[in-house]
Amino acid sequence: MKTARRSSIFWLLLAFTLTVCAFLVVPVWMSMLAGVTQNYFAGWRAGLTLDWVVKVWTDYRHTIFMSVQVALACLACTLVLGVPAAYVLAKRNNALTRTLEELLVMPVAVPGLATALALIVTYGGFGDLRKSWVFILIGHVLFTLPFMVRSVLAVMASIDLKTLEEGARSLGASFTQRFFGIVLPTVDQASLQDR
Amino acid sequence: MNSERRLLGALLLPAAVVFLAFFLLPLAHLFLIGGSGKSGWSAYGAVLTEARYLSSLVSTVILATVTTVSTLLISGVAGVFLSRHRFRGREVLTALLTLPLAFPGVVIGFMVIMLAGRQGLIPDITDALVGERVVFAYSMAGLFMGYLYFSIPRTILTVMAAAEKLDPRIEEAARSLGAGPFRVVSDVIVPALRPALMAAGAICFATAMGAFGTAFTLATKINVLPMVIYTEFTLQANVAMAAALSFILGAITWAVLALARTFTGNAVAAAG
Repeated sequence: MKTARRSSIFWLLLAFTLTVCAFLVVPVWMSMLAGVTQNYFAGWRAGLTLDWVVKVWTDYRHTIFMSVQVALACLACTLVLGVPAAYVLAKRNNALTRTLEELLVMPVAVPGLATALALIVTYGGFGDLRKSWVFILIGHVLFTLPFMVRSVLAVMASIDLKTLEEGARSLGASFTQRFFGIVLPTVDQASLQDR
Repeated sequence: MNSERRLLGALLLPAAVVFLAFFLLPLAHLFLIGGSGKSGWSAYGAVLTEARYLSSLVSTVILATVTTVSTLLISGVAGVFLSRHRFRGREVLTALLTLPLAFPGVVIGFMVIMLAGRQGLIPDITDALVGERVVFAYSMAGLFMGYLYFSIPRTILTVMAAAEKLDPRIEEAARSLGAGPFRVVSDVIVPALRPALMAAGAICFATAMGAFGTAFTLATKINVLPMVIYTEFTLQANVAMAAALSFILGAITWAVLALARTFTGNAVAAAG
């Protein structure tokens, strides 16, 4: 885009951007280094080791699996709940659906702390729910559902769903065929990217 | 047509039920609990009348504002630069800048400790330069750094996406009419990026108001509203006050985002 000779402003801005980059990347590097250092307080000169990584694997393996489990379950829930909802919001644009859209993004706007406290005071005494991983899942689904609905909705808005669907309908496709044949394939990329 | 309406209703129902049961009802419940304590509904007024709560509310809002302005400045400059210039290593640089995008708040707190904690890099540098270890990770400044760390990658992405869509010919036209670089930035680029900047700024503000993980990792003594709520709930067992404070925090954050949305159309949630 620019000609071969760079202006001094270019180098100034490049230096600035590199500084920002260093601010973001250096701590990541440091924590990775700390992860393989024998004694963090003595610094990396004390020697490198994989002991900590092994320790994480033996001691916290179950925690890691649990996180993955919650994440996968959350993805499944947002797909099942979010894609049909986004479809309805894309099909009908009236006062009701706009209000629903507005409401659905509220969990993102309201801090997680407030949502969590609301869930605890309402369902915390509900049997063993509070101790269960399902309780965490509920919180995650609330928080990620808006993103799923939003991005699927954006794709649906950009592909002229109506024309495609009417074409299929005129060829005799049922609703189920239309939903699984047109709607899902067109949005699958967006919904997977969202994760 | 009637059957189609029923069908659409059925598709929307699962999401609506989950949302009603696990979000709207609990929030309404939270609101009621906030008014059920010893002091009744005046708990909601206590945020303004009791010095302890007011000071944390004020410092939270100030922290959020400073974070938002700094993030917009830093990411605006870097984002426009990256979208305007093509050079070797640009893709790598962009990828590195968006690396922390997936980090949760607790990890970001850890990153701040890496940089400015007792064993951190910045104290090492100041030790070498002026012979004193400047440790600020466990204070408001550390929290500010954490929120910057969290917000910069997101905002850079938003700014870059918006700047790609700008027509460079408008800038060239301005330049050919004799506008200097600063005029071009202030009269052409910033107005064109305003919706994106406002959307990203609103997200920054909301994050800095309500994020809990980072503050919790750094120190429980930082006087920001989320920490006060946590202390009230767990240590003081003052559930009513914690509920009232949470509700107010939620209302403020939601209002800021809603305000930004009315100015920018629908961009705010999409930027998240």
